[in-house]
Amino acid sequence: MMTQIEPNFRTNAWLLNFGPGLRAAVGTQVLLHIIDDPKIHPVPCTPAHCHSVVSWQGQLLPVLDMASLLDDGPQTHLLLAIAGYQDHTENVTRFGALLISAPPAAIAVGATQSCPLPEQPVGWNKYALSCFDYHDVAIPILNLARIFSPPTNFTQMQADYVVQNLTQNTLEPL
Amino acid sequence: MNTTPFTQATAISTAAFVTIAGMRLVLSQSEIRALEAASDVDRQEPEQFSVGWIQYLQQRWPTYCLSSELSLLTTIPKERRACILLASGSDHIGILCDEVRIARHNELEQQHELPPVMHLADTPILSLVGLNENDVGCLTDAKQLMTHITRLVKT
Repeated sequence: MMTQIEPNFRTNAWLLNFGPGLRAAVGTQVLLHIIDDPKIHPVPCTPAHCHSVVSWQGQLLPVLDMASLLDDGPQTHLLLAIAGYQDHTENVTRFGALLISAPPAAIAVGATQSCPLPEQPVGWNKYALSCFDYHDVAIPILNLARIFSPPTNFTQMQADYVVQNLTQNTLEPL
Repeated sequence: MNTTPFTQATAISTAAFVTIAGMRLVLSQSEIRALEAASDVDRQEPEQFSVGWIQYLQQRWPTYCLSSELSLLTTIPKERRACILLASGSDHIGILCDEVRIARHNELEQQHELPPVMHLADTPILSLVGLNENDVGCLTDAKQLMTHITRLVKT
């Protein structure tokens, strides 16, 4: 089943749940669809954290398991969140799918909520743009361009560009 | 992600789907020189990590059994009922599979690049083929598969 998601006009982020104790957020414009009980297709000789594709609007999108990427062990996932992001290498919009364990929650985030990244898992240093405090829990903001790029293709210059542009947009209060 | 006509990147006029434990490899039919029953594979004195030999043009060629992850198996699952003989130049190898089917023309209209995040340096998968909403094929060729198997055997 595919559901078009519509954020509440007062919210500016989606809170994503990747399993027990593993949550992160993206901007409201990032998530496009939630797919329930998705048909995913394993592809051999691919990384453990991104081992399948899903067919979506005529494209085959990579299906990414954040829990596996962060070495948090395999998780049981029920849903796919289709996300769009800017690939600054080629200056195009790309799409990918994130395995999530619960429907995303729309939340309001402001710049005053900025806080340090959680110490665990340590991988957040590589895959988060920044972080905010939400009910006394540090919630990283996903760096989708980094997450969906091969490690060798992501330079520090690109990382700086993404942080400068997306962090401001995502944390700007309404 | 780019979607390009199937003929652009890897010109395959006629392709075959080679099914291994539910995973579909897409290979050029011209690289499949023979299709034999798995029972025709000579199981005696196989090379290391192979499962036997297959005869072709008065020579015998090592035959391998792969998993759906394209790792080497030394025990043959009962589903592996067929054996294809792949050719790359003068090199040949046999690969056991569950089923081989010639692709219909309209099944090969769209080719998708392997998403960059999934692209390991030594992958034999060249690109993906969206067969329909419920199936995806993994395009490769004989040279890539031979290189992959050689790498597995050496490591």
